[in-house]
Amino acid sequence: MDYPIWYLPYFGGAMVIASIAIVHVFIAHFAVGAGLFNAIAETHALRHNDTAIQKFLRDNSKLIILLPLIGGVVTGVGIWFSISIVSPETTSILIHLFLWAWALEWLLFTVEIISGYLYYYTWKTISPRAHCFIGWVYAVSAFLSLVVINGILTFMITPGHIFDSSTTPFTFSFWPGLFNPAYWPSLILRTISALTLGALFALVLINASRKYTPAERDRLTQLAGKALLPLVLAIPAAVWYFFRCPPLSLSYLTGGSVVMGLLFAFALVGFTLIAFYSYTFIIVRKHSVTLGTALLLLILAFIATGASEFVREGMRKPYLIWNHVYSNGILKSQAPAIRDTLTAQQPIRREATIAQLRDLPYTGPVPNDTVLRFHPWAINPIDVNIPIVTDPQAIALELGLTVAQLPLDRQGAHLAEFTISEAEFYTQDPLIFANLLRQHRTGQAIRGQWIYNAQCLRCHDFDGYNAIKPLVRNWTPTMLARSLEHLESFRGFMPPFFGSPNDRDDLAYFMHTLDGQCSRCHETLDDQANRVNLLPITAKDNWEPLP
Amino acid sequence: MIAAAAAPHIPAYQHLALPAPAWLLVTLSTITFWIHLIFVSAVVGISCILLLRCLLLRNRSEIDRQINSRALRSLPLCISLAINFGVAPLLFTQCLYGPWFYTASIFIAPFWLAVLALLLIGFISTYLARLKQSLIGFICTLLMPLAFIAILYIMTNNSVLTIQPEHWIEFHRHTSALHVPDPIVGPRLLHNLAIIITLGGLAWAWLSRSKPAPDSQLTQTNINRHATRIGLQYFFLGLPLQIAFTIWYLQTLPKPLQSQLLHTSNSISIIWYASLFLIGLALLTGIVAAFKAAGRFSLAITTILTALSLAGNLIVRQHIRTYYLSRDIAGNLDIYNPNSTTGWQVQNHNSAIIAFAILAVICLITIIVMLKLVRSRPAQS
Repeated sequence: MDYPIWYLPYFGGAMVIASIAIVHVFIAHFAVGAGLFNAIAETHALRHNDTAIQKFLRDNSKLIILLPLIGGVVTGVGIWFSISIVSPETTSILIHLFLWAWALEWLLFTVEIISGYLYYYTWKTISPRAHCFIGWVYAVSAFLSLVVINGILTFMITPGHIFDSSTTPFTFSFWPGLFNPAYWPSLILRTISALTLGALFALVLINASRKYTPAERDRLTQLAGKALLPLVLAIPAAVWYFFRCPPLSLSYLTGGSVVMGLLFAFALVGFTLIAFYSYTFIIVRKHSVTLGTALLLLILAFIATGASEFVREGMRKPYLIWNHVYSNGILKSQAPAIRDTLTAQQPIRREATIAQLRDLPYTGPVPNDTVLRFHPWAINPIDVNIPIVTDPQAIALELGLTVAQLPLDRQGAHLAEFTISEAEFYTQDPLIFANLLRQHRTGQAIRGQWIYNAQCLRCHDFDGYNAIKPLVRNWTPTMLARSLEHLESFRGFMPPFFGSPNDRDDLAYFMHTLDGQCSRCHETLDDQANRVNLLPITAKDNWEPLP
Repeated sequence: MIAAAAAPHIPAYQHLALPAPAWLLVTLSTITFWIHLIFVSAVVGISCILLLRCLLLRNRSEIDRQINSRALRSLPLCISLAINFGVAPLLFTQCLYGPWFYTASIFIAPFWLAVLALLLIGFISTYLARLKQSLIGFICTLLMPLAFIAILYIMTNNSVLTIQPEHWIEFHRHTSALHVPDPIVGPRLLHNLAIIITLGGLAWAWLSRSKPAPDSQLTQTNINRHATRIGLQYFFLGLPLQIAFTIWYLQTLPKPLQSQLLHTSNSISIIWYASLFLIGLALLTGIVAAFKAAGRFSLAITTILTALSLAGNLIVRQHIRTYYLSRDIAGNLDIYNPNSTTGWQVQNHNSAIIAFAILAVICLITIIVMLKLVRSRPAQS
C-alpha cells in the first residue's frame, strides 16, 4: 500500500498478471513435457533404430523446442514486468526471500536455451548419441527449473512455520521455505500436466502430417499414449495437495465459491477424460487417433490446465502469501498498527501524500507532518471547488434540512477534520456550518477514494471485470460501513478493512457515491421546484458515521 | 525503513533483509548486465545494419546475400540470450533498489508492459524477415530495429526515473507520460545507441561469417573478409559517436559527479579513464583488423577491448546510480552500509549462495561439453 497504485481500466491489474501467467504456464509446462517426451522418444529410437521416430522428432523440433523458447522467454519476462507494477510489495518480499531460488532457475534456463537451440540446429551435424545427450540436457534443465519454481509457487499458499513476517527483519529459512508442505504433491501434479501437454501436442503433430505411413503413425501414437499414463496419479496427487492446503482455501472448492468449485470440477473431469481415453483407446485397444480427436484432447488439456491454475490462484484469497500478505499488499502483521495509529502507517498515507504533492509546487523534500495533513481542507486547492452559497434557504434545501435545523446539526460534522478554530466552528452562523458540511461531504468522498485506491482498487476496478459498482448498487452508507466493519467474516475471501472508524465511514460514503443513483433518494433543487415525488430523506440519515 | 521523513514520496522499505551482501549482488548484477548488453548490442546492432544494408544496397551480390542471411539467422538465439541475461540483473536490481525501481515502473506502466509486445514483434520479425523479395520480409526488416530501439528508449527512461525521484510528481500529474523531462535522457540514450552500434558492428563481423554453399564460387576467406569489413565499418562509425555522446552525457551529469569522474584521484575516475583508454586501443587494433580482414586474432583483440571498455562503463554507471540515490531527495540510500539511515540488514542465505555457485559451475561445464560435442563430432549417418 506504500506504492502508487496501477490498474488497467475495465480489465484490472490482476487480470493482466493472470493473462500472461496462464499463457506462460501452458508454454512452460509444454516445454518441460515436450523436452522429456523428446528425450525419451529419441533414446527409444536410438535403441531400437527406429528411423520413423527420429524423423518425426527432427521434423517437429522447431515447433516443439523453439516455440516454447520464444514464447516462454517473452511471457516469463512478462510475469516479472506485470507483478512488479501490480503487486510491488509482494514481489519485493518474494524476491528477497527467494532471490537465490530464482538465480538457480535462471542458470537452469540459460542451459535450457542453449541446449534447445543446439538440439534444433544439430540434427544432421553431430552423431545421434551426442544429439540425444543434448536432448537430455534440455529435458533435465527444463524439468529442474520447474522443480525450483514450483517451490516458490507453493510457498505462497503453504509458507509453513519457517516464515514470520511480524519480526524485523522477517524470519525465514530458505530450504524449508522452498520445500514447503504443498511442494511435493504440486510437483507431481505439474509434472503430470507437463507430460500430458507434451504428449498431446505430439499426437496433434503426428496426425497433422502426411509424411508418415499408418504403421509409423500408430507406433508414434502408442509412444505418445504412454506419456499420458501418469495421468492416473493426478487424482491422488490432487487429494494430497488439497490436504496440505489451509482449510479455509479448501472451503472455496466445497461450496464457498461457485465459480472456483465449477472450475475445479472442470479441471478434474478434463484430466480424467484424457486419462480414460488414452488408457482405454490408445494403450489397451491400440486405436488410431484422428487429428480432430488429438486437437480436441489438447484443447481439453489446455482448458483443464488453465482452470486448475485459476483455482490455485483463487485458493490463496484473501492472501497473496497465505497468512502473511493480503491481496491488497497489506501485511497481516501490520494490521494492528494500521488500525491504531493515524500517522506513519495510516492506510491512506501514500495516496494522501501523492494527491497533495501532485498539486503542490515541489521544491524539495517534504516533511511528514505536511503531507500527512489529510483532512478535507488540505485538499481544497486540489479537488474541491465548491462555490460558497450565501442563501441559507438554498443550502438547507440542498442538505435536506430546514433553515432552523442548520445550527443544531453542526455536531454531525467532525471538528477534527477541519482546520478552522473551535470558536469559528461554534459560531451560530448557519452559512459557515452549511458550507463546512458540504465541504466535509466532498472531503469525505475524496478521503474515501484515497482509501479505496489504497485497499481496494488493485482487485476491484469501478467498471469492468470484478467491478465495485455492481457490488454496491442500492447499498446505503450505513450498510456499507457495517459490512466493511466485518468484511473478512462477511466475505471469507476478502481481506479485512484497515483503518479507523472514520476511515471506514469515508470509504463507505465514497462507495455509496459510486452507485450513481443519488436522485433515487435525494431531492435536488430542481426536484423541489418541480415537486417530484421523491423520498424526502435527509442527508444525515444516510451518511452519519457509525457510533 | 528508508528515511521517509526526508523523502516521503519514496515508498517505505519493507522489513526485508538482503539475502546476500550488497557488494555480491552489485557484482553479479554488473556481470550479468554486461553479458546482457553484449547480446543486446548484437541484436540491435545487427538488425540496424541489416536495415541499412537493405535500404542502401540495391543490387546485392551473392556474398552479400549470404552474410545477410547468416547474420539474420543468428538473431533468435541472441535475442533469447539477451532476454535471459537481462532477467538476472532485473532480479538483483529489484532486490537492491525495489522502492525506486517499482515506483518508476508503475509510472510508465503502459509503456513498461509495451516492452513485451515490442519484444514479441522484434522476435517474430527475425523469422519473417527471412522471407526474401517480399513486402512482409521488408516490413519485418524495418520493424526489427524500430522495436528494439523503442525498447531501449523505454528502458532508458525507466533507469533515469528510478534514480531521480524528483521527477515522480510530474508523473503523478501526467500518468500516461513516458519521457522523463531531464537533460540526461537524450545523451544517455544516444550514448547507449552508439555503444550498441560499435559492439553491433563487431558482432556482425563474427556472426555473419558463414560457410560457403557447396555449389558456390565463394571461399571461406572471401566471406570472412567481407563480413569483417562490413562489421568494422559500423564499428568505426560507432566509435566517434560514442566518444561524442559520452562527452555530452558527462556534461549533463551533476557537477559533483562530473568532478568525481574527471579528477584522477579516486578509483571510479581511474576506471572511467581506463575505459576510455581501452576504447582508444580498440580503435587501433580495429584498424589492424581491417587490414587483416580474414583473420580472427586482431578482431578478437578488438572485441575483447571493446567489451572490457563496456564493463568499465557499467561500473561507472553503477557509481552514477549510487550517487543519485544517495541524495536527500532520493532517500539517502547507501546500500553498502547496513548501519546507515536506510536501516538495511543482511541475512545471508549461505547454503543457497553455495548451491548457486556449484550449479553455476555445473551449468558452465555442461554448456562447454555441449559446445565441444557440436564442434568436434562429425555426423554419423
